[in-house]
Amino acid sequence: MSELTRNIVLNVNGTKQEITVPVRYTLADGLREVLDLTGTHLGCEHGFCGACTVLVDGRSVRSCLMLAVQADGCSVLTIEGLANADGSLSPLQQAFHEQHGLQCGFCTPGFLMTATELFSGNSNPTEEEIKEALSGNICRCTGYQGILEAMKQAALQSSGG
Amino acid sequence: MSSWIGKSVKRTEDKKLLTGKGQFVADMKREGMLHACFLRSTEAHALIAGIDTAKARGLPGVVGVWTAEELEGLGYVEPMGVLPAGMHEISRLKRREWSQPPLAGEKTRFAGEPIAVVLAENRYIAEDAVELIEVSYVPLQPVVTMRAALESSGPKLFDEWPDNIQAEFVIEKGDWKRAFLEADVVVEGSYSVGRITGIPMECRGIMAEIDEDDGRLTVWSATQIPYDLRGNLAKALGCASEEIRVAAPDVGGGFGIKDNVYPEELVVPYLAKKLRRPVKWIEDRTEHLLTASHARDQQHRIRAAFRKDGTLLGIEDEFYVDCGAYNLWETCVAYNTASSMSGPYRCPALFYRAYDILTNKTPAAPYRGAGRPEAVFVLERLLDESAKKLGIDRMELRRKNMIQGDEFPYDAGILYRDQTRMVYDSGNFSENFDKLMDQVDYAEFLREQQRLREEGKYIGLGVANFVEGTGVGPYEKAVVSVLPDGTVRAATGAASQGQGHKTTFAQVCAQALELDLDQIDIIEGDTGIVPDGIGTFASRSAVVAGNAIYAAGIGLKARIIELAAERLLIDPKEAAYERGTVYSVRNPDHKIRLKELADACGDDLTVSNSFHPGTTTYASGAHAVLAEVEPATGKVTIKRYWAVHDTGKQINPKVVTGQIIGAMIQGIGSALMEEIQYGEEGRLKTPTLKEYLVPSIFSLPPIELHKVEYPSTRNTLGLKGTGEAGIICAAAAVAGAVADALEPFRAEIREIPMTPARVREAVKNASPLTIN
Repeated sequence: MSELTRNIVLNVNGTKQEITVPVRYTLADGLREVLDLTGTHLGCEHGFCGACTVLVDGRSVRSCLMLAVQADGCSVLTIEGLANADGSLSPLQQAFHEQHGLQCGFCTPGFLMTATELFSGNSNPTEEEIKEALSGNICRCTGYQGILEAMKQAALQSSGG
Repeated sequence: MSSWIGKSVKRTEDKKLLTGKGQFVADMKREGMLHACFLRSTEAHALIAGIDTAKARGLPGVVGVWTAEELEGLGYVEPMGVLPAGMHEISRLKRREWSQPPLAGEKTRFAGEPIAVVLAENRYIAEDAVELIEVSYVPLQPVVTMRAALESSGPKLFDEWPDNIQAEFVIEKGDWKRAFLEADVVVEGSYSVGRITGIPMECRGIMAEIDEDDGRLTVWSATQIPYDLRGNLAKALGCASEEIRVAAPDVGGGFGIKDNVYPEELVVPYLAKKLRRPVKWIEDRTEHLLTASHARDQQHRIRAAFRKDGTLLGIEDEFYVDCGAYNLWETCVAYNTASSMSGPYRCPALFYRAYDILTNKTPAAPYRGAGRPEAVFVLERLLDESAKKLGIDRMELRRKNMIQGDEFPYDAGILYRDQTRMVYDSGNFSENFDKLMDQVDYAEFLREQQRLREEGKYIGLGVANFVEGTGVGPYEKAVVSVLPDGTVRAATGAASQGQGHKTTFAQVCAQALELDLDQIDIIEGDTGIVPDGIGTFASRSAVVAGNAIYAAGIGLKARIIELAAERLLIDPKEAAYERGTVYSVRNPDHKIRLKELADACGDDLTVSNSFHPGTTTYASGAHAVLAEVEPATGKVTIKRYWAVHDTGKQINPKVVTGQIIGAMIQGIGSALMEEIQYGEEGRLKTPTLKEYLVPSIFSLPPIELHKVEYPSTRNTLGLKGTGEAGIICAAAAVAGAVADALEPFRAEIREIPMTPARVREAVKNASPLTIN
């Protein structure tokens, strides 16, 4: 089968990647199937659950709703790019770990990416701002309590509190 | 050595999940792997007159298309949860045999039922090909409601049956007829619990491959029950179980929805075996809502007999469960409902009659709580309404009938599903309830409620109590070994879907062997490593697998001492064990460490244990919800949520809290927003998460959870199950709060979910209380 493809360039987690993708591949499938970055998860493929959230040029995007070719020339940050350079957990990841902010972990990449966007623009969000930012991400295991506590811990740390 | 059990250690599985290194089925890739996509019936009830697959087969990239008649030699999906033989006479069980074809051939029984499967080079092409298949249906009248299913002249799902009742049974205790004759007050009501589903964030998925060397089939599945899948698959493929390895990799939530064997799980391995190529199928969310099991969906007609002082004399309940097109777990849910109905309350006489009804909807099966939330909703609503009729405070009515702490162990007087008597082993229901009401400050609430009513604001308080049989058998096996590097590996069949077993099982194993957590590795849910086991469902894993691991760990310690003494040339009685090192008490420098022992003894350092609980152990608790209701819009806001749970001994309190709160929020969803809906033709009206609403972070109220630990008397570690506990009271407590808030309107709350439309309807239909 010769699918219609296109060559695109992405900067993924700080590394330049030149890939050939079928034009109809979603960004999620481009990351998962072509680049083997399977940390980005697909929970609904309708844009409702937020599990597949990645940052494209710093802004959160549902990677199931964007085509890979649309990201040509963009910087993409995925969960694989969040840890510290030495492989240790970033303060945000560490907060999720300490506050039991995950159970099955399937929705976790989307929460972490959405939270990354929030903290990049607001180092000390209030509880309402945290809830507003995360209201488009569904977690079915934690009941959100552990996630909220993790977010409060991370907020405290990022504001130097 | 500090105790590992009871410690909130952070989870060892977190790091891979937080860095994107988890391995879910969808993440797995193999050389030459094919992708499956299923064609699903658009009709709820129809004969299949013909299927034209020619165009699909001709699409470049398609490797093949299969319909029912081309799955030569593949068997059917078999039911689970059939009551033990001994229960039949006692429960007057009547049941009809059924099985589900892997692909519908002659007849389709629900919209979404798989009819054909395409294998292609990638999923996009497989989906394209599915679109090219043409099916000609001869529509039959769909059976969409239980009422329609019970009409004697209506259509039948199985032609050979005289009706659509798959099973029915009776549970009886005491002289219930006399209870109603002697009652001062009889209260009755009809209640319904809507159809919902669990929505694990990872949909279903399966990958199957054949080992080129030995021809063995390996199946990776997002399943809660690898052993049942292996058993059903072996039967369907006509091979020995030993020829199949089923393993659950990282699984993204289950909640009971992955506790079934599904048609796709037979078809994908069948094709992998036939083509000798790896085949993967990953479900999308619409397929999930359309075909993965639904739950609840019950209607009750119940009445209760009281003395005028509020003493409960008896309950009579007739109820119907809409099981959809195939009753996957047979009487399991209905039996749980019946046996949970009187819960923590004394009920000297009862009579329950349950019916499992088939309709042309997606098959239903256990979902978190599995029949218990339904029972608690029905009974607690009835108690609130009874209190009003009796003129007794609703909290007092509950207290009056509650089994007291000094009555344990308490014989509930009926049989559990496992054929043993339901005897509550430990706990204190009235203490739970008193602790709950202490937190609530009921008197202050009543004042506040009155004050706000005068301002035109309506708040209400709802309460509910539960008892839950947890840790069901028949058994779970653990294999604990010292590896060549001196670390310990504990393996069990009960795999996690997010519950954190890698940590909690390691805590149990570390406790038994006095080791650190990083010296222990936990392997789960792989029939290739532990050849026999059951799985993770019904709040059973910590209790059954946990105790198996602990006993195996203790056994391994004894084995280590014995073999070390041999190496040290000392009498085992003179050998002391400390943190993996064995030494002579006479000369502590004369010692051997685990690694050295492993080098010397190899395979001898393995001990297995199967823990067979005699019967379940009983967790219990009480919930209270404070909610505000806007009568004009039907909007319900939960302002506060209090809960008291007897968890038994906790392995990891933080994990237990996470399980309870996660379940509570799912319960709020089932109370207020979650609802699977069907149109008149039997087609799903809620095929995406846009229509099927689940709680967001805005649904999280302030929660005060108080845990008490009454250790189980039925296992060494004193554990009780905790996975489902948090959901059992939730909808009942929310419903009580809504009803209480709307008391001035006399609105009747007898159905969940209480969507805004339904709350408005209840207000509109009610007759406002005349203020004197």
